[in-house]
Amino acid sequence: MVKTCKVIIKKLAILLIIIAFPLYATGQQSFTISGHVSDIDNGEDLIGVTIYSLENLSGTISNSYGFYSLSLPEGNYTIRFSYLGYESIDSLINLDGNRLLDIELKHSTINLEEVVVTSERRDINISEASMGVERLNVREIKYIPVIFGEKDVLKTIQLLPGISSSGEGSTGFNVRGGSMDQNLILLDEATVFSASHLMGFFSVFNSDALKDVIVYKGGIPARYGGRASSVLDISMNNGNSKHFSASGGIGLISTRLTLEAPLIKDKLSYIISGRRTYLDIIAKALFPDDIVDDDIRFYFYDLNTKINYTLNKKNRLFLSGYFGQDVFGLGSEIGTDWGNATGTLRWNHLFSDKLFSNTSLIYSKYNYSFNLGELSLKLGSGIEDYSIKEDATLYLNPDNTMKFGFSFTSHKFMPGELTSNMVNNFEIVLDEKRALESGIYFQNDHNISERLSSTYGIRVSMFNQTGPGWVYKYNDYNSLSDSVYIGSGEIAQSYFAVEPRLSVNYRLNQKSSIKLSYNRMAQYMHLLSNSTSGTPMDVWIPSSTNIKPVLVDQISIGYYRNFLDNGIESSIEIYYKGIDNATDYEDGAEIMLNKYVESVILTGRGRSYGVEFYLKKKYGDFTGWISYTLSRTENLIDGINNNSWYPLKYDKTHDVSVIASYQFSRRLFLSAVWIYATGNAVTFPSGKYELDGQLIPYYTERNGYRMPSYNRLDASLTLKSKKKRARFEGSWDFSIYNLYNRHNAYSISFRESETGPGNTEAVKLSLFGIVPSVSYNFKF
Amino acid sequence: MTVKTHTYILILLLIVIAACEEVIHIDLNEAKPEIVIEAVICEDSTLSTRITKSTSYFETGLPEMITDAVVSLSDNKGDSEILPYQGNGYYRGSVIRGNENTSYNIKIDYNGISYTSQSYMPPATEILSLESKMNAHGGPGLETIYELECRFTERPGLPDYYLIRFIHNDELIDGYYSLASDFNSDNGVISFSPGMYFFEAGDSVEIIIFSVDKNVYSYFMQLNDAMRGMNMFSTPYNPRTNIDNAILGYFAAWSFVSAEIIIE
Repeated sequence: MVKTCKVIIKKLAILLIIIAFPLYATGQQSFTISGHVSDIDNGEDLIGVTIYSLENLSGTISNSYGFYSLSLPEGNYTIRFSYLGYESIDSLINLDGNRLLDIELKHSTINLEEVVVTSERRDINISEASMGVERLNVREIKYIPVIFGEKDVLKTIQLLPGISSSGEGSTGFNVRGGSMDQNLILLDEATVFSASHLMGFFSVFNSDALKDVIVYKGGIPARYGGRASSVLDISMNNGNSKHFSASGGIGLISTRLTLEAPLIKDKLSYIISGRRTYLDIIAKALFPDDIVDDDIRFYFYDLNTKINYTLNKKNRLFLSGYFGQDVFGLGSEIGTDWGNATGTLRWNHLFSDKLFSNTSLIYSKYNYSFNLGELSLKLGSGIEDYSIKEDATLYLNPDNTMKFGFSFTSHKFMPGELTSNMVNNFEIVLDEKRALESGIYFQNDHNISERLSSTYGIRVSMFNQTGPGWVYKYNDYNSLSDSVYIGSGEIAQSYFAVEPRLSVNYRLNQKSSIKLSYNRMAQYMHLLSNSTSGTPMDVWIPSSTNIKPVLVDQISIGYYRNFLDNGIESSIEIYYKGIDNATDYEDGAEIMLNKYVESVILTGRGRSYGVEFYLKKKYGDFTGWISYTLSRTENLIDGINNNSWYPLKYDKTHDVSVIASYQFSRRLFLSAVWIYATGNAVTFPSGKYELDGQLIPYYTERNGYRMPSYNRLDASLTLKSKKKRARFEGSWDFSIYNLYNRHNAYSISFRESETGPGNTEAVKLSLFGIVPSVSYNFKF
Repeated sequence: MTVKTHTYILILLLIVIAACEEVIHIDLNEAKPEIVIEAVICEDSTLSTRITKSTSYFETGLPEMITDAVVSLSDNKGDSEILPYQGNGYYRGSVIRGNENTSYNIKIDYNGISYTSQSYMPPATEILSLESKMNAHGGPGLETIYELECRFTERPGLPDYYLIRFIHNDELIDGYYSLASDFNSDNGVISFSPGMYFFEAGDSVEIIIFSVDKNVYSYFMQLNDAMRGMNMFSTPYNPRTNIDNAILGYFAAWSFVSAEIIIE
């Protein structure tokens, strides 16, 4: 294995040299303009600013630290910095040497439309090679109505084509037929293992603390790895480096407060952002003591913090952390809590004005615990990761931007333990499991000609399941056949994958382009979950001797066309995914606290294909989008559904979202969201039989039925208060969830009729009817 | 309280806030009627087999009885018999009586298909004690509720499985099958408390412990899942039958012991 690895790495190195050499060889005398782009008011780095020369339209985009580097032949240039919602800046440069140019952009005080008219790179969707990518501006998210008025990144991305919600009001999402555990969710580079609070109704992301959200569903860049379906990369704000500022909100179920300030102006700043819900307090007020006990604890909280320090022009440090917890309990008798903790230390270093490097040390943990005081019953599970990661970008010339790096992660899985001193000191303790995951990658963003551009790259990943611990072996009937003890540091099983990534863009004309992408993704860890939208008790396990890594090959092709002078963007993307080692559980599988859980996991093939339509109006008083996805996701696994293809629970044939926002004046916004989706695939009985005097349902196929289709309209109105003082901004947010009070089915169950004993009936449970809410938000 | 129950509590709390339940009309496919076999040979008794067919889910009448199957039973001692039809779907034996430590084979021929199965009758356990105690972890108003604790023997070194049923004030408790195995035995003694049931002072409770083989134990464990219907933790499924060529039903050979207590 190691030898094969070395050979492949050597071949890759040769390939890289071959690719890179002609780029250097053809380079003529040129100089580099580089620097940071930030917001003039708060010093926040601006991500994704387009920087280009008006003379030859050569350009680049600022990275996630606001850094850019653009090399051009000697000469005079007008360099334009433009960013949606900000006033563009044109800078005249006589380029006769390398230049350092830090730029601060100002929020546009005039209408968005007027600003963007001056920007000529509104066609970025058709000029960039990347496809299957969507970047969300956090300010955009704030106008989208959601339940209880709690703005949520994860609920907003579910409105994009190819991304569907896993359940009513849920933050769980599925990307192009991938399961929830196939989404790589990163917060300042740290993996977030469980992104939901309160059984999935809220995400762990407090939008006040966030700056940028980018989601990749196809053509995933080589720098990301470890999950099969998608990447959701979220960046936190750095903290105001100009002056003290505070923002917050008071809503029906939660309160938020964010404080940020410079400690040393323009050098050292911090942000601290907290949120806590008070459902328990409301419940206590609404219900009498005999229903809701005084001792009840039922809330969640989040805390985001970040410090950033600019040592000098070449070095910056960032330390960010997240801590969040759900708490539920009753006095000392019963208590359960779960949550994530993440920490990231990053060092940005400029080796030269063309070579940017970021080194990160990352920690992430998720844990779940439950205890029942009287019985001394305790249940716990979790996962803990330590990682080191290096990402470098070489801005070789305007036509080639190379990215390369490596990552190395040590995983510790705690699949669960249950102890009680009630019955004979009862305990079930599952062994901790350990694994090492590593990857190296290279990618190049290459403008091949005026019409043709491409991003190509490769990631090589390796996963080692290590000791200490027992490794179980099973026979063909999934019965235990052997067990072997693996000592500390010994390798029980290694997996290795070469993951090519490719996106190509061919520009047909000024208004349209065709894109093609292919990616292979390997996933080495699996979430044990048999519910549609996940539970806090779901447990991660590593790939092992028995469970092979999931391998996904995705190919997609798309046509992009802009209308009305790039005012309206539209696209059609078609994708096909083939999945190797897709998993599902055998009938009646016990997945919790089962030492032999690997024996109840069945493996086979999967496939997902679909077409996505997207129409978006980005600029002006009226903005919004329509997305429609037609898709199918199914598995073929021996031992399930009579060994024939069956749809996965979250397979949704049709998924439609319509989002519209209208800005009546500078103070008044109205927005609405309408969604429609085919119901989840479910297993219902197709008959019944009598046994031991009871009626038992008879099932003929897995996921052979559909829940009723789902649709809902939400609306919200934001009213900004009049500016009384220069810096104070206040706004009221009124929203209505499920405006026409549709009783969408959350579940359908079957039971013996209460009115006609001996008869059976179907019962629909719906969760939320019409839910109005109001919140007040402020900023100064 | 099981691991799963507390999640239900959480969900219930949420549901209390906003949920609404209604009976709806739903169209279900009509599965091809499938043969259902329920065959039991009990210690000291003859084999009783009921053969019916499954119906559509919303069917209101009685299931179709199979009256013309050929049902035969044999054991590992060389005895065999053919069971005559007795009405209401039942076929009953008259020759072979159930014995501990014996394996039984049944064969049912119907419509050109042979359905066969084997079940082993383990020896009956011995009940060491049966006690009632006041519920220790109740809440307000639960002080007068009692639970049972039964201690019984198992065979050290051999796999043992039990199906446990209760007769509460002369009425068999159904809807859920209690099960136990020697997984948690302490020096050959199993302590069992039916966490599902609570009793009041003065109640009469009879506990019946059936010793079964592993396949029968698994069947009833899965039957519990099937009876609960939709369950967010698992895709609904048919319990895995131990009868070859069949989809629905089971064949069990079991021995049993019982004990009775008046709660106080």
